[in-house]
Amino acid sequence: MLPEEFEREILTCVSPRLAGLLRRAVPALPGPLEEIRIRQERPLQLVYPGGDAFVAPDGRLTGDPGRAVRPDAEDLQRTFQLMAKGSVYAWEDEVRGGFLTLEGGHRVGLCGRAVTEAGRIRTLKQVASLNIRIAREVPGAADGLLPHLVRGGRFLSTLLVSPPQAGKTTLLRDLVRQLSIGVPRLGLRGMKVALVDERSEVAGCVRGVPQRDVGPRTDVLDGCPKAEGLMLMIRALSPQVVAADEIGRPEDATAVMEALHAGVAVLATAHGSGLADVRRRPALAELLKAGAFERAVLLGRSRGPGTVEAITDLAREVVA
Amino acid sequence: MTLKLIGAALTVLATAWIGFQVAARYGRRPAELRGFQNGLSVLVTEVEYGATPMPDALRSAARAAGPVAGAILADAARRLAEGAGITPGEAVSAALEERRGSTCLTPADEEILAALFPVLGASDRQDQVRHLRLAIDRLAAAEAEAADERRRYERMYRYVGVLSGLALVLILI
Amino acid sequence: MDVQLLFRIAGVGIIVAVMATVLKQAGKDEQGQMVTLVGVLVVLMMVVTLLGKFFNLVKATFGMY
Repeated sequence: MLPEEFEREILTCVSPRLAGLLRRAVPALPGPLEEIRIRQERPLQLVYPGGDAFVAPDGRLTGDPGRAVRPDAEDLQRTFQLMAKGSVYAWEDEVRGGFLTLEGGHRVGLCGRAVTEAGRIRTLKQVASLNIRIAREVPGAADGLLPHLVRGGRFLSTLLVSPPQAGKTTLLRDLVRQLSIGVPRLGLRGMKVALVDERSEVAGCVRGVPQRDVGPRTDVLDGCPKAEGLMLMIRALSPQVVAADEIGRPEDATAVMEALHAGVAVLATAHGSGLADVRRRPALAELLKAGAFERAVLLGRSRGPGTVEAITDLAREVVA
Repeated sequence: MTLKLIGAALTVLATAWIGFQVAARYGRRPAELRGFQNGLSVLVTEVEYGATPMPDALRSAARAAGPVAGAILADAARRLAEGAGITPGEAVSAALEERRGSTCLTPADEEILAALFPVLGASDRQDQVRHLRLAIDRLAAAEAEAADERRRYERMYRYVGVLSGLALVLILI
Repeated sequence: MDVQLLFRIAGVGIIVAVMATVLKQAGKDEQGQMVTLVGVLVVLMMVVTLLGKFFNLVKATFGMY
């Protein structure tokens, strides 16, 4: 991430004292910054691929949590306010969901004292912990995968199966982007893609505007429950492809079937360590049996996050 | 003779002007307090129903708040929009500070507003609305008191201004 | 007789009366009373000056008595 971007997107949203420390500490990291963990009365922590470090009061990195800066309540409160652009009340739904999205698509996980009403969370009262996940796009992540998902100028409905931290969201994002742009070398024209981004992770929308590149022909429904969102988008936006992250519930499966009946290709992801694992979930098993997907892609970390472990032609499986 | 007349007229004019100025302050205070009430009311609507971010909410409030309060809220909106990591409360505080001399608000009135500064934009809808409504109520009470003072003192200072001028003229000439 | 002085005394008297009324109406009783007092003093001073002139005149008319 470029220093100006870091300055503009992250540092303007943290308290001035912490901003000063981060400005000095982050460039000294041995790898690209992945997370900034700000916790009240606890060491200020930076996470990069393969490790983490704490920030000492002079802005230098240290491995010893005992010597690290400990943000106080004022730092947390001010940072939270700045992240909410001085309008905490305007982010109630997001705060209830436990996260905020900053401009640039960076997600901030929130932790603190929950205020409940009738057994459900109404809002968070004192935010004592902020986890900033730095957004990183990997354009081209789907390059190697796409040829297998296209046939005769048509995109095949695909299910990405992935264990946690295997880069499925990054892959999904790049797939959506490329489908939207079109892939001339595969004879694929740019398609209208409808993305249901329930947890604002794929497109990183802020106020409805995608902060990450998801392609020129893509519409994003942000923060909407998948099942409802899928139905909405199919009816209203005449997409050629619908995309959703982490399907698994019966409603999600119903929506996917609807999409297929409407002649819309589906690109979805699901948690799992393999097809067998996925088949153990009744809703997904139904979908697979009904031939909803033509391709299944298994992701893993064997060669780093985003490794495509296997691609299965489901049609042939079913037929066989 | 004419010189005396001119001198007399000038004296009376001077004292009358002073009297009228003081009277005008009493006249302006209720209007300014009302302006703030209207502005804050709009803010309540924006926060409660629109979940509008502070800079825009303050701008809307400024439009409804009349000349003096409006200028302060608009200035606060501008400061906030400029970035630089200040909170809405700090923006309003700075705007108020800059215009301190040209408002007719008493320190007690400014106290009512100051109570909002740490809270503005810092909590959920319910809490914001609660604090804003409290401030509006207090401002209404202050406005009632200001209207009473105005009734009593506006006329008085005007008269005193003119009359003391006349008295001076009579005594000295 | 200095008619002008008489008018001046009358003028001051009227002004003081009106001011005292206005002040009392506005609730500032003490200020009203103060104005009345000052007014009386001023008028007294004017009258004293007048009296002084008058006595001088008497003295002059009748020779030093």
